[in-house]
Amino acid sequence: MNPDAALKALAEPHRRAILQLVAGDPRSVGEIASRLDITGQAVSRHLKVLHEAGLVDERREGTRHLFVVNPAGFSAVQEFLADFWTRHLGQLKGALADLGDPQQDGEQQRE
Amino acid sequence: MSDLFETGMDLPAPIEEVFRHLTDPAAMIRWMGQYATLEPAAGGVFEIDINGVPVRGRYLEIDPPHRVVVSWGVAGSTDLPPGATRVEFTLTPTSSGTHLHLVHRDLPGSQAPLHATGWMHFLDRLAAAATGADPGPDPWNAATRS
Repeated sequence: MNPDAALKALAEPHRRAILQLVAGDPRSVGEIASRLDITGQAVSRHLKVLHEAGLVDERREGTRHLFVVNPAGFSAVQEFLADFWTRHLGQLKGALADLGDPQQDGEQQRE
Repeated sequence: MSDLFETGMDLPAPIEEVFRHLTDPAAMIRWMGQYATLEPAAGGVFEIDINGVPVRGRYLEIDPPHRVVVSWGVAGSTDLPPGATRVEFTLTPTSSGTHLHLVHRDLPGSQAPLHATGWMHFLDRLAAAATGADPGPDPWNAATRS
């Protein structure tokens, strides 16, 4: 799983809308296009990005080609939270260091 | 399990100072968000605006200076309403300062397929929160430009 690819995929509003559509039910390109009022070509392009990011799976039902959300891909969210908290705790560490370390600098522990 | 996130960090400050950064609005916004309204007592409000994202919750537990538990959600969100998740900060003195252990619980995702939309909403908000929140190097910055 590549969190960077997933986050890039998720950064585009149409792709988030597509994921919401396929989260409940498997849907075809045509269905997605008509619901979002964008071209089938655009939908296919977005689905390709989402698929490469591991966020959607393709399946065939008879002649229908359907897309559905891939829950496993959402481990990227976990990565994202990790980034969110690691970054903010890093900022906390910086803020505390700026206050002046009451102890000797040499004893400062670094991550 | 995908419904819990856990991390820890050693901080170069005494435990009281770290605790203050979790309970005092001016200290809080030195590291997270731009505006904070904090009433650090059980049941008191815990409100931080992080780049326009209104994080809303309440202090659920306060044990100065060792432990702070807050509820954590986003105002106006149906998938992640205020109170939906819970963040626990546990502080332990060390020889060089304080160890902070953080657990973010009850995240949407434990029933992954059904809650995928919840994740999306959450991520949408968090993406807004995390990008540009920090003038330093931003590893996700490229990801937000489509």
